Amino acid sequence: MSGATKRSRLSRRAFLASAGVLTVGAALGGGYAALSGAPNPLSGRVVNAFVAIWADGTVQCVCPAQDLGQGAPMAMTMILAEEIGADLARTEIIAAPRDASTYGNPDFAGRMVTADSKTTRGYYPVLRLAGAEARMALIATACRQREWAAADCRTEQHAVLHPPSGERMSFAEIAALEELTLPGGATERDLKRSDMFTLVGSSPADPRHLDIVTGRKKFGVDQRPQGGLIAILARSPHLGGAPVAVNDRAAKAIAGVEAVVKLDDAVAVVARNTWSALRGREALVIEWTPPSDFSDKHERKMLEEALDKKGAGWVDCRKSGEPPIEADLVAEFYAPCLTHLIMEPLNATAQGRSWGLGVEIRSATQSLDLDMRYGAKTWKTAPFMVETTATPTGGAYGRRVLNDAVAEAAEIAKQVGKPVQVIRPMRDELQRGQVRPAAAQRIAAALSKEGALVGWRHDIASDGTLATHLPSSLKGPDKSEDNTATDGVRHPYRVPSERLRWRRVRSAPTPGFLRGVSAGYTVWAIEATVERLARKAGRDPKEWRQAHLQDERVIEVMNKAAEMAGWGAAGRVFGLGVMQFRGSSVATVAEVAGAKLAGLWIAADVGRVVHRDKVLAQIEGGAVWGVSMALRERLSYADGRAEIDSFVHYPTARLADLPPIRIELAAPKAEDPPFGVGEIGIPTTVAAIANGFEAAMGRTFSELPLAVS
Amino acid sequence: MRLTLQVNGAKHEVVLDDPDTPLIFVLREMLGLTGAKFACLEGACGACTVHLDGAAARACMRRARDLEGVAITTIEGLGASGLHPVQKAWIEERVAQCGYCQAGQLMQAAAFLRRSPTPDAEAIARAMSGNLCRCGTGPRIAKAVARAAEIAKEDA
Ligand code: FES
Ligand code: FES
Repeated sequence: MSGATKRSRLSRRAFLASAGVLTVGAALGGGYAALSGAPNPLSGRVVNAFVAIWADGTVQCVCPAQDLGQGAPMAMTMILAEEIGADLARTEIIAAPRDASTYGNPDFAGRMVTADSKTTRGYYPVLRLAGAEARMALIATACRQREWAAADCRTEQHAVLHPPSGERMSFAEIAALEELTLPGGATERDLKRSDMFTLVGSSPADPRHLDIVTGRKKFGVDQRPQGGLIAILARSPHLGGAPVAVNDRAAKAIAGVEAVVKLDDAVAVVARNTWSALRGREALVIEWTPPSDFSDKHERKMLEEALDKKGAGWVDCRKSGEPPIEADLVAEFYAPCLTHLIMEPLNATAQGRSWGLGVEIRSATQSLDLDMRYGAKTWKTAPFMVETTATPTGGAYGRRVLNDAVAEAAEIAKQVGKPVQVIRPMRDELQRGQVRPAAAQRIAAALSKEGALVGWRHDIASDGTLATHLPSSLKGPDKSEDNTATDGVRHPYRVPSERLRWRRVRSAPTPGFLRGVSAGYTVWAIEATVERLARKAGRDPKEWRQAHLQDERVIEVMNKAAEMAGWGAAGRVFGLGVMQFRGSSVATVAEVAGAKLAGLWIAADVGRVVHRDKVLAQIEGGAVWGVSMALRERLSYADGRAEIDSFVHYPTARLADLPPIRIELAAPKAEDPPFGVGEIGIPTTVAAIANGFEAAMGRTFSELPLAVS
Repeated sequence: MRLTLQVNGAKHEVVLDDPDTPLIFVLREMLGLTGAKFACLEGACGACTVHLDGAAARACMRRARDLEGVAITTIEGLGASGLHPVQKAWIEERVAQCGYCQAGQLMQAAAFLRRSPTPDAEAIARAMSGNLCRCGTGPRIAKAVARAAEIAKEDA
């Protein structure tokens, strides 16, 4: 029996997993080298961990990232198909199993996490190599059969072409052969030149749209395990509250309720259906530990006092020139706690496996790796005994990275001995879920007599999400910088003396990753200061920036956005925001007319564009978040709890609040990789709106959301 | 409690443990129609929007037992004969991101266009502002509703 036949008898998953083992290290920093070099022992139809070719010629692509609605599976497939020369309509996408050594994101220290605007960016080089390797295998096999020279061949539209003879051999014909010839791993030299790209950079239709508009797309809450129960938790509305005494008699009397399970900080009602579980939760009588006196006002004071602290505790992000400076302008900025407001309730299903030794987790998640950790820890089992599956998610925005519903599901399933799906009601998440922590900032800036920037100090005080949950992921030379608290602080302006630093102040609400993280407010503080400085110096804010910017891409997008908006037109009031973030250069111009936001113009250089329309959609969605953060969102606290009993207590920008939004992308430079796009619509939009209102109203704002009405 | 509901043109007998069970859970968990979603469960986000005799309603706020004799339509039944104009427009304008809110958005838009077949931008914004899309597809929703109005005219 040949290797090929033997292997094709295995299930697809086994097939891919075994292929995966052989390319261990592909994603673990090894990147380029791992797929190449060593003799590749594969034969048959699996080309490598990312590509398999089936007997009918279908090219199967393995997607290592989660479907959050951002279009990752589509983008991943396009990169592979481009290198292979495959017809997108004849590709098939399957989700990668949890195998970080094969499928981890090189930009994420090899972890399988879909977040941080890093998916397309991180996997692009790996997928190109994997695709090139598949192309080379198809060409080599066609050459073996037809006695062509590989150097004469190329692939196009799902076939190998041999221009000298004018002949072609389709992938289906090649796949019908007994074995694929694998010429060995691809190297950078084997990649397609970007000016030859036909698929990457286009906007092919996404078949998922049809599933969505017909209601067929299944999210986590749409997938219940057979015989599974639903658990809804009662949690104290107070931060840190825990149950002291529980009377569950009335809850247990409700039809459909099967069990009431006490956890450390919550009480779970387990029922045959969601409505019974919800009613059961309402019927619980629980005495909670007494509340603290935490309030956002008190926290704000602590954060602002921290800005005055001297000595140890500060983490330097960037430093140059001679301190101290004599400041011409000192400004403070406060950004409140925010919540994600994910639409699909947080959910996870756990179910015992292998006589209770292992556990199977299915969840709407951003990270199989982190789900596994929650599962293994709670189930008290080894990682390999935890099977994890991701469902599509109804919004994520960073909330489903630390997907704590998994731990709850595992705990309850273990106690009741049946499959359990935990669903976290929105109110519970708003009151007790993860938040983007509040932050206080102070910027001190000095100008020369000519109005040039000569000194810049930016101090930030806030809690840190990595510092709280994943301290091993802290960055910088002494592993102390939490980029969720410092992102955006590294401004693009030329200045001889500067110091950018962060100080951690622990907060009571649980910190979490939120789209844009700290850049949602650091860029606002920087850009507001810059416009105030420009005005102080009597100069046009765009022209002032131009004189201080060094990066050509930033200058280009700034001028582009300004041109789109009609910057400088008499009688119109504009605000501007620029930055470089996640590798991308972005500028937003906001127009304010009367007391209303009247328009947004965004220009972005995102490097290589994979799926053009999805990039635009990500930036537009980010801009909507920017409007919401600038004008609406705040999670306030008093008496130890979030002041929120209802979804309507957390205002967000609605359709009627949105101005027209225009977006243009800069043409990518020759061999540009893709830069991040998921978060980049937010920061400069917040900043431009704030600056627009400052210019229109002749005042300054020191907190978000802006008190404009 | 036993009742008969008319959903997407078919009659369904259901037996409720609790007479107050909201329609959304009957649809999703008893009839297997998971196209309608839920988020806030307090009538404020629009994720659960369905049609009751052709008008948009929040299925989380309506008791199933009050709806006997009412024609209930969910996203699964919207395009009974091919795609509905709003569905076509949504695909054309590539509205959806995660898609979780979209069934509700589509049902809201379809009911709105029935009442106002030639809306202006302001009326669209007003009609759709009660449906939250956290992914930020609002601008595309606005375009798609306008486009759906055109498609409906072309189709007629
Ligand atoms: S779930 Fe019904 S309106 Fe939000
Ligand atoms: S498409 Fe994700 S919430 Fe609307």
